[in-house]
Formats: sequence, C-alpha cells, structure tokens
Amino acid sequence: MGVVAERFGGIKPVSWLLNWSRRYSLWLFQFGLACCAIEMMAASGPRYDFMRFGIIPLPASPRQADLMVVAGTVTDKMAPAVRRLYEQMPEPKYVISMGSCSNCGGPYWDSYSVTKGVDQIIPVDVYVPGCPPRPEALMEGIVLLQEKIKGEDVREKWKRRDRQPV
Amino acid sequence: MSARNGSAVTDSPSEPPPETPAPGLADALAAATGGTPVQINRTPKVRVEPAAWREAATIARDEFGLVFFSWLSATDWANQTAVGDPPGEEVAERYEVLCALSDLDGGELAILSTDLDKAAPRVDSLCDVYPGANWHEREAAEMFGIDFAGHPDLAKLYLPDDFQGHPLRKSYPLLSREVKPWPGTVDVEEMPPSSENPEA
Repeated sequence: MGVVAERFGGIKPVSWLLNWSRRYSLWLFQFGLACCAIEMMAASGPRYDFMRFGIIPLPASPRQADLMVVAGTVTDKMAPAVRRLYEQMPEPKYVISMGSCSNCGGPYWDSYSVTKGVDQIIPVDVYVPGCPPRPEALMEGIVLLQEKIKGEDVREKWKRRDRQPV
Repeated sequence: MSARNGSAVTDSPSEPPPETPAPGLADALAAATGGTPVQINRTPKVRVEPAAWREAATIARDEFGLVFFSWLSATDWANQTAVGDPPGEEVAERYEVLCALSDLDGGELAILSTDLDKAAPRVDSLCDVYPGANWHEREAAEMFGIDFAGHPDLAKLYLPDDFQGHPLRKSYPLLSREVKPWPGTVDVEEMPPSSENPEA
C-alpha cells in the first residue's frame, strides 16, 4: 500500500481509484457511549440503512475498521480507551464525532468527569451536531466525510500516518 | 419551577396529602437504636449518633427484619457553595450519611441517617452487616470524602484513580463554571398562560 501511495499516489487516476474505493467501503467501528449510539444503531438498521453508502457496521475489532464514530459522552475515565482503540485502527482512518457531548461536552460542559470534546484526544474529521443527532444527520456526516475522502491527496495522507499524537 | 433553589418547596394542591406513617416503625426503631425518629413524608427515618451507626443497622436487620440493603449515600449540608445557589435558610454544617433498608416481605422501608463532623467525616462501615454496602460506601467515599472505618477496600469506584478532590461536596469548584457562569438563569423563558396560571 505504501509503495502504491507514494509512487503512484500523485497520478490522478490512481489517486481517484484509491479514494473512490476507500470512501465506498468504510468499515465503521461503533464507539457508542450514550444515547447517540441508539441513533447510530437506527442509522445502521433497515429503515435508514447506511450500508447503501458503503458503510459496513460491526467489524470484529478496530483493527479492521476505517472509520470510528464516537457517539456519546466521552468521560475522562473512558478517554484513554478511546485513544487506544483509535491507535489500533490501521491507516487511513477517519473519525466522526457524533452529538454534542462528543463534540464539546454538550450538556455536560461544566461536569467534573466529562471530556470537553473528543477532539482533545483524537483528530476528528467530521462533527455531527445534535442531541442526539437524528440518523439523517449522521448520514449527512458520512456523506460529508466521503466528499472529504474524494478530494484527498493520497500521498499526503500516507505521509501523515506517523503523525504525532495530538 | 419555584422550588429550583430548594429553599421553598411548596406542596402543590394536586399532590395528595401525606398518608399516615407506617404505625410506629420510626418510633420503634428509634427506641431500639437510641436514635431520634424523623418523619419524611411516608418514609420513617431515624437519626442516630455516628458511634451507634453500625449497631443501629444490625438492630434494624436482626430485630426489625429490614434485611435488604437498598442504598447508601450522603448529603453535604453547607451554607457556602462553590457552584449554584446556597440554601435558602441557614443549615447546620455537616455530612449526613443516609442508608435505606427494607423488608422484603412486608415492603417496609426505613432510612437510617447520621450526621458527621466536616472536619473528620468518619463512620463505621456496614460491610459486615450488609455486604451490599461495599460499593455504595466506595462511592460515598470518593464523592464526599467520607472515611468508612473497617471497609475492606475503599478504592475509587467511578472516578479515575488519580482524581483529586470529592466532586459532590458543595465546596468542589467546577473549572468550567469559573470561566463561564451558568447560563441557566438567563435562559429561562416565561411560561405561556395556562389554565393553572392564567396571569402569566
């Protein structure tokens, strides 16, 4: 993968093909931590069905996942686990922060135990606002992420794989 | 709405009047444990001295059949609060430890309470009377800083191991509130007129 990305990633058709295949085959690691997880499950169920966008839910482990959806309240006690499981995901990896709690602490903005935004511990690609966001909102976040992947520079993404922890 | 700061809890007319208490449980328990009976609504409550805490629980279990340990928690009675409104009227500064015990057959519920000195909040553990008290005491210990003497392992239950302070104490500051005051009071909208409140 590294050879392809570094040597041929600058070639437009190769880059297009890699991005195209990535964005329509995102294995979604469900980090459901609170009520947002219910909406995420609804989005994966037959009514909303994000599989039609190429999102594959329930990988057996974060090591098989491309996309992590942090859905719910991240507490300071949970934060190391979120970070560790994020680090277990192979590159290229993406994160959607779903819901107010995960974006910024939300209703727990003054709590003694809640992390004020999961972006303090892992880099976030798309923030989905809402408390909780409806499945449609999560799906829009996924589509936005796919748009982002579409315009991505494959070589740059590959070079950043060893980036420093935030 | 009006009872927000806890100072003026008024009984609304729709609320049924408190029923007569379970005959004599509070009084009998108080007499047996040497405590003071307190009636809160329908629940008999007995306030005992900290020294008699464990003994009182043993008597409640063995002589009154209150064999089920329901919960244990605490209240921080404080006139100065780091966050939120202070109480409407002056209260005696103390930590009140509360423990609810019930009887599985008759459905009786009684609350034992004891007042601890804020300088050295320490009381006997109930773990060997009610094994179920273990985690409740760990929670009360981490949240209120109460020392339960004789507890097998007062490790933190919910909080991270390196957490500093006792967050449910009224004196515990919230850093976010230091930076930005609570917006709740300015966010409150007036209630629209209704049949119950036609003037609004």
